[in-house]
Amino acid sequence: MSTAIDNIVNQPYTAGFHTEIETDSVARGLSEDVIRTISSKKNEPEWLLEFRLKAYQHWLTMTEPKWPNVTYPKIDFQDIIYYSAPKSKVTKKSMDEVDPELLKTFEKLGIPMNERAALAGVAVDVVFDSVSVTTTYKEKLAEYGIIFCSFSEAVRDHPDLIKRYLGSVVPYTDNFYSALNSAVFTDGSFCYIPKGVKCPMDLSTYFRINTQDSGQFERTLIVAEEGSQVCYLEGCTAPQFDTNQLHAAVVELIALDDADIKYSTVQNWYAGDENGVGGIFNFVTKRGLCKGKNSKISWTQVETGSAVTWKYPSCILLGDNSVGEFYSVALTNHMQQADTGTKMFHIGKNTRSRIISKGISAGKSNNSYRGLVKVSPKAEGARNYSQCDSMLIGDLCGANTFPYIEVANKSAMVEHEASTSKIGEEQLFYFLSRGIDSEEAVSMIINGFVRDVFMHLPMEFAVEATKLLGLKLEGSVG
Amino acid sequence: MNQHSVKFTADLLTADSTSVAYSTEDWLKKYQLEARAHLEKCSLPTTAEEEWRFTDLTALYKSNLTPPALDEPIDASVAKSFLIPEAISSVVLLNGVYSSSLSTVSSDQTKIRVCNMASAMNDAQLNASLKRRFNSLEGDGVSGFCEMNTALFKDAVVIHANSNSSSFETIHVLNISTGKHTFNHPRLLVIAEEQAKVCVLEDYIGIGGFGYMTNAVSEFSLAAESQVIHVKLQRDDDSAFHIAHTHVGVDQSASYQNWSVSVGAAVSRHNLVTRQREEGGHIAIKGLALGHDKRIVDTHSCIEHTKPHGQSVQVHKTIAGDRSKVVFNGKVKVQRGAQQTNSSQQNRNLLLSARASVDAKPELEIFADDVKCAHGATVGQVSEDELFYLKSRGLNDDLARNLLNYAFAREVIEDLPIKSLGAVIESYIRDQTKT
Repeated sequence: MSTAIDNIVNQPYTAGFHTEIETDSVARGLSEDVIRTISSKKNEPEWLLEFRLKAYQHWLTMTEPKWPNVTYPKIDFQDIIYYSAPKSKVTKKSMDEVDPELLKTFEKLGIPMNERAALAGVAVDVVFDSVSVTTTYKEKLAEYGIIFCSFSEAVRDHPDLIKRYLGSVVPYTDNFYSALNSAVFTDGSFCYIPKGVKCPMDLSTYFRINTQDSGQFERTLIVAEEGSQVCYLEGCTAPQFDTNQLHAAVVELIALDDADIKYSTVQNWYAGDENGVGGIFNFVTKRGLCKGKNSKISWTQVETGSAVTWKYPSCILLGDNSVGEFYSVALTNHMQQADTGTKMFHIGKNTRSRIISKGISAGKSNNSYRGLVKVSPKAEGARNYSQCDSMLIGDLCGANTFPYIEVANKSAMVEHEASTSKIGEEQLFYFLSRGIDSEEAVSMIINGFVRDVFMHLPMEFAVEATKLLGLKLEGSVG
Repeated sequence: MNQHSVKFTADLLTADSTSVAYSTEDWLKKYQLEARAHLEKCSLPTTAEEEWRFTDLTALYKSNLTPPALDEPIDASVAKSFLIPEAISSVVLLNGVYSSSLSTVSSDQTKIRVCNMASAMNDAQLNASLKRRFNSLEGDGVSGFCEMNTALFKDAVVIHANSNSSSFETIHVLNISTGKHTFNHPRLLVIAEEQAKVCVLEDYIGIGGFGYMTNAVSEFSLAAESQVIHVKLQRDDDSAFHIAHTHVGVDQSASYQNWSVSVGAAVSRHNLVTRQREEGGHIAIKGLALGHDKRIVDTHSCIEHTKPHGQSVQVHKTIAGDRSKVVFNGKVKVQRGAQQTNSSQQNRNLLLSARASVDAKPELEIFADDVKCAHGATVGQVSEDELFYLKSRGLNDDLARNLLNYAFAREVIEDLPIKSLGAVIESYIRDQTKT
């Protein structure tokens, strides 16, 4: 590996620290009362409480999904704190007003908010545990009519939009964890791009899990009106705890006619130590609805963290000529397990989808791609191309591919390819014979392997992601 | 649990009073009792199970099946017209029972022994071999239907190829069903000793039968360096239910070649499980499934590499026409330590009709790092360019389409080692892929 990466490799998990801030938590466990408490603490309107309670009632009838190719200890849902918020709750106008402890946390993470935001032209909606602390660049965005705020603010200021779109892509009945999220979600981000507006900057949210044992139930909703465009970045790091933490987020995207949403994620939750102690359970429901004609939704994800990942960012291609894309790099090391992939539902005419998935397994980890391409009977001229490549590093890890292809329209063209490989002796020899040492060679081969996905990441994310891969594969290659 | 499945399972287990007569051999009786006990608890699979999600057997479970009559009359000349000239021995099973009048078994039994289960068990050496190889079913691809067969099978065909069999002589096992709404549980056991060579044609056909169920289990055991060619032709009646399990164990440097052709039945399901048990085994599978009319045709294959240096190649092609439904699930597993495995799998599906559907799921499960595994799956239709090319040469649209469909399917059976069968299958392809 290159010297630059080498330096990073030898660092311990830099995001592993615990900020001491007084937090305002509700008691452990889940009941109707807890949901009512969350709702009243957040001064929510009656309809949202109803939504939560309906979701909760439905959740009680559901059981945890057993089909993912992962194993983990049973989660005690009564042992989770469903609400924790930093105590200082007055809305801040400038960075100076923010709790200095919080700012230090972000600095340790390497994201000095003001600088980074200014340099990169990124508006960062920082979510520290469950309540949005500060939102930058809001005013600039407001000039364009773009709404980018925390979910709670959106409920307060734009109830009509929330009421209209909340649960319209991922209904609370969808699955076990989306039902749980719908019942107890505490905050998240809301983004609305008006008709014909091209968002002038990339929007970004940084998530932090802070309070020990607090489940994170974020909710993100992005609505892109006719002819609008937005690029959204989501990045995660989490402190080092020994107790498993549950993260069950829901992300809903809606693209109307000719709208274009690009959603990129770099996920680096704490993955547990080498023996699989600790780490985050990442059970996320992400789904985009291409509602309008010629709309496009593109998911790019780099999954390097979490003890267990269970995540299938999907596209429902409802509008004619709509396009869905999924680019993914999933890296697992040590005892990590990932069961991730995508679902593409072709419903409209001439819909197209493209899936590029790269899995890297090292250590004793298990990495599965699970995807569905479904062409409904009326989806004339649907087109799909899928490519799933796996790379194994070491002989104790596993790589699986489970692609489901269901076609009920004869004009559809669906292609799927998958391959599994390792870094071959011959490839290394080729590099060595040209004077490149084996560490650097391995680094180059891996970067080449994931290039097809990384080229779809925004610049600063691509840099971070490349560093992450090096960091994550420490000691397992070469 | 699905009530239809429960009732059907219970009915079948009690329908046939003669099936309670267990084998006199203790080892076989033990298997039969275990299978029955398990089935009584679990009953047959339904769409609620992941492995059977796409294949709805409700129609089967709702039908009232009875045991076949033992003296069903059959026109011998019709039955014999299906036999192939290449076979040195032809074994005919009529509704699951060996028919001595229709079968012709070669007098030379020194190289390849062909007999039924009872006489195989009278031979001490063969009995020991059977005991070791019978009921090799375990792990992936096993379902309640296997247990149903084990509990209820009447007779089994045993083919035992000795080490001195060196020229791929063909044995034809022809299963004829004549019953109306009857069931039968044919069983086949093929044992190839070290360096043996044998070619087995497993053939299913309905003559006058209607709405019957064939529930077949075939087991292949390949000793080191043996070579087996296995052709399975399923041409059951269009109203029939065909459930088949094929389990293959491949030892060191042995080679198993399979052609599976499915052109019959209303609902068919073939579970083909091949396991490379020792180093350097070679597995080649070619499949062709034609969806015609309202047929459901389902193939679940599993190739498992458990030791290093294994090789496997699989090509599975399907054509879905009319209102048919075609299902393919192809799993390739590479177990920990099975280094230097080289495996490739191709699945091509052609959709001909607006009301037909294809469900494909090629799976890879890899637990070794030094392997080369690839799979590809496509669903599509005849290319416009190819059509244009043929039309520009004077073919009309229908002719051009039929020719392309035929060419697509024919690739699978091009190198079929039983030549006379090639022509037979070609005529099925022509009949069932017309637009």
